[in-house]
Amino acid sequence: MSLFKVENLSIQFGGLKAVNNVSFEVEENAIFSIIGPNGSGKTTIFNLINGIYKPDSGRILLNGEDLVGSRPDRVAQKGIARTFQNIELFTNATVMDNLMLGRHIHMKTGVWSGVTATLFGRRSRAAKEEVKNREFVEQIVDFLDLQSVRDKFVANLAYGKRKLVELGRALALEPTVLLLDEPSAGMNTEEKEDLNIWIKDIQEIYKTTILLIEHDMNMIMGISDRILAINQGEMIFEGVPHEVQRHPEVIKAYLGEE
Amino acid sequence: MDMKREYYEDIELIGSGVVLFWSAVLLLFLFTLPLYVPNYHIYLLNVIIVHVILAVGLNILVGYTGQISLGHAGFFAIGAYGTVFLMTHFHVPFILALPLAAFIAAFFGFILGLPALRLEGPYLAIATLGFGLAIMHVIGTWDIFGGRMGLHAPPLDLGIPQMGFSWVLGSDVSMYYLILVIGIIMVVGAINLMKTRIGRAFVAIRDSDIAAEVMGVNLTIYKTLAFAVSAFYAGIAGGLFGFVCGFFDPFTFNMILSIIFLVMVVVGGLGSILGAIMGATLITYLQYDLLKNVSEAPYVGEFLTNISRKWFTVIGLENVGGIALGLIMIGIVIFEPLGMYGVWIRIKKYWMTWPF
Repeated sequence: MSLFKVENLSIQFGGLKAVNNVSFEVEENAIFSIIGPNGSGKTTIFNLINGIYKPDSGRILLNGEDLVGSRPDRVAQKGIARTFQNIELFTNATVMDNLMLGRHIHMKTGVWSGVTATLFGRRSRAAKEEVKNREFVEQIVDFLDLQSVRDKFVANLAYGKRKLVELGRALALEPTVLLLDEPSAGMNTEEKEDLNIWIKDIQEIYKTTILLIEHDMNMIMGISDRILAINQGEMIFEGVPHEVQRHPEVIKAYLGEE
Repeated sequence: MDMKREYYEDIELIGSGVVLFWSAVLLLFLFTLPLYVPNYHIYLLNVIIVHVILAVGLNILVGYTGQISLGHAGFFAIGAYGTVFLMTHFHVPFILALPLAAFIAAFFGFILGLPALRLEGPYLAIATLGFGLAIMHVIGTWDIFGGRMGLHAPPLDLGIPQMGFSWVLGSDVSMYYLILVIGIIMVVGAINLMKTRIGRAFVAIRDSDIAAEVMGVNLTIYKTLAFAVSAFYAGIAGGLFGFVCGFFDPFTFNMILSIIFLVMVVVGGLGSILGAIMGATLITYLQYDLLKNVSEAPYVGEFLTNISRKWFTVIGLENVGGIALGLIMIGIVIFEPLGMYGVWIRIKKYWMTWPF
């Protein structure tokens, strides 16, 4: 059985069928890409998975458990993390605070233990928890090469760095499934190459299953295990990279008809 | 430069020798303050610390969580009335009545937090404004709370008189020490809270509620929690305020007070505990003392009083004070959006990099 499965997912906004009867399966520890022209419903699929939208019909299964109807924070607790197309970071907080928020679901500190976080010095419950989770986050800082900006405010970072911080925040959640919405958008060639390697590493080191939305075809063809092509909310084709590349419907959707 | 060697140092209150030294100096100064200020000013100091507690709590809500409240005078009133009511009607000792009243305020904060889940910006402002007005009027119509006649605070007894153990704080000075200790505890608590998981969740909601939710922050719980914590601070402040004044009526907790509280937080600096402390201190001082000093100032005092009488109001300098306060507010918002905290940061940076 596959780890993550979407069955007959549909949602309609007014008269527009944004996602229409989309189904796919993702094997554990695979990189699964979704491609399609702008406005074809890729991000909407992510929003449905996250619980930001509620589908009109269909099921979203993680390890056989249906996620439909769960609030976004419940979905996160079940192990799904994501990044956003237009970066949604906590801009007036430091990089470290952003990454530490990724540990939110793994921490327990409540109001009382928070208020008394320094009462017994480093033996306080909240202090111990902070230190433990900081250690985890520092590994991510090392991994994504964020040392130079760790104490900077996100508002002062360049675009490419922000993309990385967002990726790091999602990783800090230790997700089973990681949703990446156009991670390479706005990056230069060099940054894209680095990102390529990082995504591969995430797959190998963190054993994460990755769902990827991308426009950069070189990147997609290089790292994807399987690719789903959609157009105007409908599935066109699903298969391994070289099949997708040659499929006439996909070419038509991207380049138009002759 | 101070080098950090372990992660714990990031949440430590006193991270270096320099901080330790200045904290000690500040504490020494605060605890010996009654020795060199006249009695009227002790009363003023008490009011300032009470306002500091409230402003720190309000900043948790407005500055850190990004929700607005124009109804904090309501929680302030619940704290004051609750404490005195519990003491006089149920004979609860002060040390229990104060936190109990604050918890009642926190409960109301939780209730007011519920509409905040759906409302934003101006709409939330109106909803909280309505709450503040409602509390004032409800209290005013209930005879059990003294109605429009108000309530007198009983003697402030720190012991448990029911068990024959009494420790009455009679003077402003003894009250000053009580309020100072409670104030320090509340401020340190807020600093700790904002450095740990809950504080980060609040900031996350302020900067991007959608991302916060997707990362596992339950918006329902954390938004209502922010209101409850903030109301708890207001409740503690209110409970102390009742004893500082000795007498209060519903109109003490009017709408203008809510707005003044918000002014303290904005002028001090949104999202900064130090800012809230500075803002509350400055605004309270301006409100209570500046007017008086101006009218008694040599040469210009009489002149200003005359101008004020002639052009603004019959009651003397009141309006000039209001106008000055307004100008300060406008100036700070225009020139330093981070408030007094922003000014402080700049001064600090200047001296750390001096002479460059």
